[in-house]
Amino acid sequence: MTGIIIVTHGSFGAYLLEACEHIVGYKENVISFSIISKTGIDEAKQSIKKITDEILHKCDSIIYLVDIPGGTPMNIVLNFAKDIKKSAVICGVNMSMLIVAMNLKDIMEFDALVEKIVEDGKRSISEVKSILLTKDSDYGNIQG
Amino acid sequence: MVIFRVDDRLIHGQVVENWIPTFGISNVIVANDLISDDELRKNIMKFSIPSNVKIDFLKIDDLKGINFDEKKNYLVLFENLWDVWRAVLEGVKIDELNIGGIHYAKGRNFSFGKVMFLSDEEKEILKKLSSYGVSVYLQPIPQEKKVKVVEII
Repeated sequence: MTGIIIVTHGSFGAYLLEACEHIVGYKENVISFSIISKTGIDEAKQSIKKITDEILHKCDSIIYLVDIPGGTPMNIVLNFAKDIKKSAVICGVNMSMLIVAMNLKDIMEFDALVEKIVEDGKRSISEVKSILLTKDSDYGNIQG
Repeated sequence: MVIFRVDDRLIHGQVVENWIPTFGISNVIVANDLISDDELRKNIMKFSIPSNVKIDFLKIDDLKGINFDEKKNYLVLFENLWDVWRAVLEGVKIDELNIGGIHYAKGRNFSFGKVMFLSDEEKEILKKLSSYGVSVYLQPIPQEKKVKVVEII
């Protein structure tokens, strides 16, 4: 069983989680933490440490979903992830990634889950007007 | 298994990411007169669902001709209650009807929760459906509790 911790600049992650819960419902062991400018870095670290411990109490692995590569959320969680054997840090979190994580975290094995989140995230990014709004386009499906 | 659902968004996130995987849906049927002739909207819907799920677009009048394969799991989507009522009158057998979303529009003065708004005419249809033995329940996503619509209208 894998726990999911979303860490982002500002309340992006909190709203992202709210939007995903609208689609797949509430799931246990999925927590978001917002790094807002009022929160000092040390305070943020402490809170994320606390959340991490909570998750590790119930799950045997953790996936951190963060926003931009190289940002503060990534930098902070890498510090924790390095000491947790079954953990991963995935940048670029979007709704497709969080939804697949929420849907599969209790059924898929850790490594496969990490791969699936990254894959689905990449696949979700596409310019769809050119695919779908061209005359005679008979487009099969790209998802799946 | 066949799930009949009314949702004015038809194919969208809750269907693609939740109903389809939760119930292992193998076949989606979009029952709508206009969409069955609209290549663009059909393409968009085909694009949105997983590639291992079959999608068909049928006119309301053609629904009664379907033989549902017992080994498969179907999700039949309607855009509105008028279409459901037409299907029932045509002889389509619906035991249970899921309401996924009927959003606000002028004249829909009755509401329950955030996703079900009904006009007087729609309430009448729901009562008629009930008298035809269709059990109608509101449940946007499978993880939420079913709410029996006949008890709240």
